[in-house]
Amino acid sequence: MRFLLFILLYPAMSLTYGQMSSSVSAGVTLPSVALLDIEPSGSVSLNFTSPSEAGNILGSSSTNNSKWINITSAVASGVTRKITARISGTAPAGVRLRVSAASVAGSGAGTRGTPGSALFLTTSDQILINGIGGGYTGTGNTNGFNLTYSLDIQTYNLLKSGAYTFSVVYTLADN
Amino acid sequence: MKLKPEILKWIILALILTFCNALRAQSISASGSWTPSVTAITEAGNNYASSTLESAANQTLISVSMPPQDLLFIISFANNYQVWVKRTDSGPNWNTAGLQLFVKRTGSGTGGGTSLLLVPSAINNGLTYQQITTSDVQFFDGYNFGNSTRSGIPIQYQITGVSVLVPAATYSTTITYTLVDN
Repeated sequence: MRFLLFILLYPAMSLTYGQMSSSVSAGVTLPSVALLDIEPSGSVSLNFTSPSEAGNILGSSSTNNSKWINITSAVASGVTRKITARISGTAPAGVRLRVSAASVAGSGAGTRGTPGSALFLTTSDQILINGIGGGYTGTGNTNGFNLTYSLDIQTYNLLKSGAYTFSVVYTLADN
Repeated sequence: MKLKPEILKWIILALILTFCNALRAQSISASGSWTPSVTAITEAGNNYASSTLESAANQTLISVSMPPQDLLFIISFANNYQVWVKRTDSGPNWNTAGLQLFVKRTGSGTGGGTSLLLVPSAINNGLTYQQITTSDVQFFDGYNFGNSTRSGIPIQYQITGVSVLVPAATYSTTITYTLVDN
């Protein structure tokens, strides 16, 4: 009887465990990143050359291409970004500030966007660079988008001599 | 020749025991998930400081049990096994996005039993990083003796390809370890 009982119970005891596979999870979140910087720091000075002879107009504006836009951008699939520019403050009457961005240069990688045509800045945002995806430009004043500033006389009779200070605001934003 | 009933009874018992041992299912257990964070970029123009994330050396611990290969609990034979690994993504595909997930074994764990002649169990391979794909690939192998479990096998992970060029998203996957009786 004991022999029979053992024979009946043993298979049941033998089959009480068993797992062919086991799982764990892994994951990482890569966040959306939008960073923009102008390098090097400091302001830009532009001026017109005074005429040397009565009756002549102002000389052409000086230009400045010392500034670079550095960006880091990480976007969700299908998202693109743009860099807009606008004036903050009051620009001198009769004068327009012109800015253009050269194609991206230096180190970095990715989809860093394409500059559009030169802009005459106003107090409203205008697109300077578009089509930015995931990418980075590298840092400092040899990487990214080189900016060129100059002044343009729009309305001669509004010109008043003096020193004027205003800011240009660049924004990296989703399209 | 006619066997005595008593002898015949014990022969039947031996056959049943052997058969039942063979029926015992193998078992694998893995515990310890991994969800690392990337270090925030603090300066425009930079990418992530490192394109690689690495887990603790014992991020996951695996235990492996095999059905005993023995004769009436007296003589244990090595029972060979293989552990295979694969991943199942939920959400964006890691490889399409440019991320790769790697795994390696950083130790042997403990246990696994010994033979009657005190030959210890063994665990082999899997000590260098190998990519976890969406298909099963062989990870490591070994053999146990008797009912012993080899437990606490430490597993480490690595994610490569971390970059702002990779679409921003949460990348999640399930890593499945499968035990194969070899």
